[in-house]
Amino acid sequence: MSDTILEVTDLKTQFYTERGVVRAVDGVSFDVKQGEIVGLVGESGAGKSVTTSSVLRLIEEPGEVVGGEVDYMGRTIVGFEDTGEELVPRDEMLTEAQMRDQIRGNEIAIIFQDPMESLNPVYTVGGQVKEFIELNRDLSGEEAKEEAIEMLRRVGIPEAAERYGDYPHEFSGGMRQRVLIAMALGCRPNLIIADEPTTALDVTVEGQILELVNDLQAEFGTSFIWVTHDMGVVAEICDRVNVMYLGQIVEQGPVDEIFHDTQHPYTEALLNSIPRPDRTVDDLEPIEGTMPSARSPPSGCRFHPRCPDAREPCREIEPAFEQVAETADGAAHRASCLKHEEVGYWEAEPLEVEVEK
Amino acid sequence: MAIGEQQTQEDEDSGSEFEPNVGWRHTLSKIKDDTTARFGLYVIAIVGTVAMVTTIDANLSTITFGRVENFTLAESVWYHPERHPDPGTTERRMPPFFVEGGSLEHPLGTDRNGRDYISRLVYGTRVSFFVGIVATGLGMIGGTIVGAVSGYYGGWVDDVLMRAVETLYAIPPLVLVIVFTVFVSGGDPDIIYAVFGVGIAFIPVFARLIRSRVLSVREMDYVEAARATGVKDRDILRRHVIPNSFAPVLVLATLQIGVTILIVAGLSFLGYGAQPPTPDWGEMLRISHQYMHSNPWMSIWPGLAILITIMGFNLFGDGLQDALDPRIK
Amino acid sequence: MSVTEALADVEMGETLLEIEGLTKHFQSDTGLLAGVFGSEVVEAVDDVSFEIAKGETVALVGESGCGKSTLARTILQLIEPTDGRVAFKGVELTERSQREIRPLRRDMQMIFQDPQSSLNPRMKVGQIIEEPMKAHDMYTKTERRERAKELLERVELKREYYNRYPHEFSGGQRQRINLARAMATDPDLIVCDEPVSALDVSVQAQVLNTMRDLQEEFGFTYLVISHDLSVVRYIADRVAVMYLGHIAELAEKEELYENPKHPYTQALLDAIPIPDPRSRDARGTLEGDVPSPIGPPSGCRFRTRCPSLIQPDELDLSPDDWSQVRRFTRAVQRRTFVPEYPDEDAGLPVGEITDAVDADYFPEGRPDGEAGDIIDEVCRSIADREWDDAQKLVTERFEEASICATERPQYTIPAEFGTGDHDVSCHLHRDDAI
Repeated sequence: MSDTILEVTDLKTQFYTERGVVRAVDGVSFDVKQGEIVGLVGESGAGKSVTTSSVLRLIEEPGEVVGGEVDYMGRTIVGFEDTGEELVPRDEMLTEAQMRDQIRGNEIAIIFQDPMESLNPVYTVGGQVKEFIELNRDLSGEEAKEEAIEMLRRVGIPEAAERYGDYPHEFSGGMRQRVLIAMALGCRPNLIIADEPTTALDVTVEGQILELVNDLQAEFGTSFIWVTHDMGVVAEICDRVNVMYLGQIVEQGPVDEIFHDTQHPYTEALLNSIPRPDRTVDDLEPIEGTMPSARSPPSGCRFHPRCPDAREPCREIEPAFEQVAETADGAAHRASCLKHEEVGYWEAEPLEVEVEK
Repeated sequence: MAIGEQQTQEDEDSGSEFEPNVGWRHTLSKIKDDTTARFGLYVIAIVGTVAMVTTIDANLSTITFGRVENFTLAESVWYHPERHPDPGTTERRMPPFFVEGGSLEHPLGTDRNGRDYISRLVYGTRVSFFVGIVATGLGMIGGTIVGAVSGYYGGWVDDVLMRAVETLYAIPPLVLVIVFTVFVSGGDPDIIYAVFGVGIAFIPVFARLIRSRVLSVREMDYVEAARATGVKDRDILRRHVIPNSFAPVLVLATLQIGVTILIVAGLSFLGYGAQPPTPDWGEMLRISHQYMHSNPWMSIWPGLAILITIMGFNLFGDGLQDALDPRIK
Repeated sequence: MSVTEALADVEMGETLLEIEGLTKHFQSDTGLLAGVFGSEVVEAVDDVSFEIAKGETVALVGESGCGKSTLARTILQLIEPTDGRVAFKGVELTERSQREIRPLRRDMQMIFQDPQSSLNPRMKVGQIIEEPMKAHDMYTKTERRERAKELLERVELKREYYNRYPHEFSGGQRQRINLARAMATDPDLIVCDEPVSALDVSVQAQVLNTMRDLQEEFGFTYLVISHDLSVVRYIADRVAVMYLGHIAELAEKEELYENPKHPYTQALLDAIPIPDPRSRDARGTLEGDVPSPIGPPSGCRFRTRCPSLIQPDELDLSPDDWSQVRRFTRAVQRRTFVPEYPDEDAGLPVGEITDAVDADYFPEGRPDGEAGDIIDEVCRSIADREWDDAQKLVTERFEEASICATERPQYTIPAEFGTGDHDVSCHLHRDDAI
């Protein structure tokens, strides 16, 4: 169960806009092991979705993956070599056709936030699931249809056979999200990237979907990368968590450590800023200011202008992303904060946090 | 595009520096980057300048024509476009100077009454511009009011207004012009009736366009916010609904000016527009088509003038559309 | 006497807004010919009553489609109610025309969910904030300008933002501009429609704190509409849980969160993911989808999904038997129980069906009496492939015969926390009612 299936190392994706280069993903490293749910959490603008799109090489103009490695079970999805002048893609990097035929859909599937936009309104739901299965697995039309109905039933769609011929608008939001999950699972992928799949749903429906994912994951052993901004969802289903801020992962570790042995001030601040459903909080501690633009990120530690713990060195020294704490089962718990480095953080004066609201 | 859009969205959310995508400055800068739109604007500017300059000149010439005649430049090039020359002083239906029988005195030749063709053509610009802008403006203002009121209030107001507009839409402009001419003047055709008729005939086009925009704009939260805060309906229409629905109307108006010029030229050709001796391109075509064989240039010049003017407005309108459409970035 | 003069002075803690039997039914088709062909009625809000005292924060929570936004807009008379009355500071809004209500809007303002679309992109921030004052002819031009700048400071923005356009601001900042606009006329009531749900979590907290500070300073009364129970727990004093156009439960915050009585509230609270991996398994799930508001369930609207539906009086089953019957009912309704029919058209012998049903749903033996007879009949229908009959039968006999379907529950019970009443619309608590 602990085989690493996806390894992302120092991934960099940039967008070239009229007003400068946006370093949307700037040196992100993480991995996914067989059968686990890995969370990718952060606020909007943190680069979560760009990261997952880069992993599937779905970045389009004006964006480009400019560096780093993505290795999926020995196959190179992204890989560069240094010719001395510039980085060029290595030969073993999969071609676009190989990505399409071998990776996307049948090995790594993706579920998007808005199920209405992911389903074509003019085709029946069943037909779309069936087509997707046909494309990615060697099944005849009749078999694919049976498999599609079976998958729809598995994800909890009542009267699955009867509703096979219904159109997307005849389904509720939660049901549509179930259809997308059926579609993704129907191709028996090894890894599913779920990009905020429950954000648009009501809590009770979200609960249904999360429970479904837990059940299906136990049954099929599929791995997940779960992209979300909701710390509650992360706590609910993730095994390991990556916290992103402004294009970088600032903290990475097992879910319990992230919540109960928090090592990065951003994660800490994020946890303190959310209202709790299970107890009455008298005063929320918001994170001051807003996330700066990825076009001109702050020097040193990117979080320092908003960090309650920022001190003088944070302004200049870029913290390294390193192992910072022991974990119970030996899994890595990394964070990039100068608190954990020998750079004179503790001797320095605290910075005055001055932010624009 | 999904990824790109996401990026812009994320940019917005992160509260970084924004590029203004509303306002005149933005629109103008877009047009500046668009070669065809710029070309269209130049054509409009040139034709427009010609139209304005000749307005002054024409006034001078009608009031104190004699003095202008004494002016050497006027004597050589500008001939009064409406006055019939004395018999025998100029040749009739003279071809342009580069054709045998032509002379530089009348660079584009003369019409069947011996009047200078180029000065008639140039004065025709004024008529066309007046016709295009006034008729389109009439349609635009009328249509905007009708459409905005109809879309904003909805319900029976919408039903009544839109049925009326549809009825109007079913009547061809020519019929409107004829009805207008007959009822208002008792049958004496004049360009002013053509302008009014065409303007009214355009109301439905504008009304339907702005109504469809208003239907989506009125659902915007800022409109509801204004209602919730107690702003009067009239002010909501004026300050919120119309300004935010107006961009496509402006584009349509620009394109429509060209169409209007063409339609009124057609009406003049049929005799329901400009009346002799007013120099109008359509009217010039009406006269000249009898001489298609003997002197085709008489038809070519006004035709070219109409073509170039309409092209200018259309190119500019297209550019304006691109500049104002937030979807094309 | 003009309407503004009719406004009563309301002291802190006294009733500011009174809502009684408020109902809004939409016609699903409103064209000219709708009357001829008939149209369906969407029961968005149905017979809702509550009061809001000056200075308090009342939250309306519920999932999408529960009618909370419609209710808020109906209260503000932005949508004309079908029935019921709304009284604001002693003035009956429902009896007044839009023209008469307009001057009253000065005292009741609204904040919207979407920070993108709630500010006119073609107006400057200053104009936006001044608009409400202008609409009510308040102050002179220079005073308005000064006040707008002051308000910007109040919501923790800069005075210099006065001349900027909305698109230059982030979501959180735009929501602050919204707040400034709502405050401009110094209203009593501010209705906040999902004020922070479009914002990032860290920014949410900023805006929520600002809202709280302003309430303390100016004594605003908030009616907050939200789907987020965590946000509501932070900001509200009293909470009303809505489900499909009805208020399911209404109580003070502590009482509602710590002592929820309605099965829907319980399910809703159970469903929220708690940001703590150590309390993982606590999450429960509610089955099924929200029914359509066109022809919604009779009686208690939650009954079709309710895990604690009360058994009909004519049945006399033990709780265990009843829950088995419920499980069987759901299976028949959703046709999750599909026997292997031999071929396309033929049915099966009744015996096979009853055996399968007994094995799957009643391993301890089928209940006898009335319930047993009904189950027998259902099995016969299934054997004959008459699924519609089977579905109709279980629905009629096991669901619609229940008190939950025949009577609309409305009870007030004593609260365990705090001092207020606890309204709960659930027949389970009919014996506790006061």
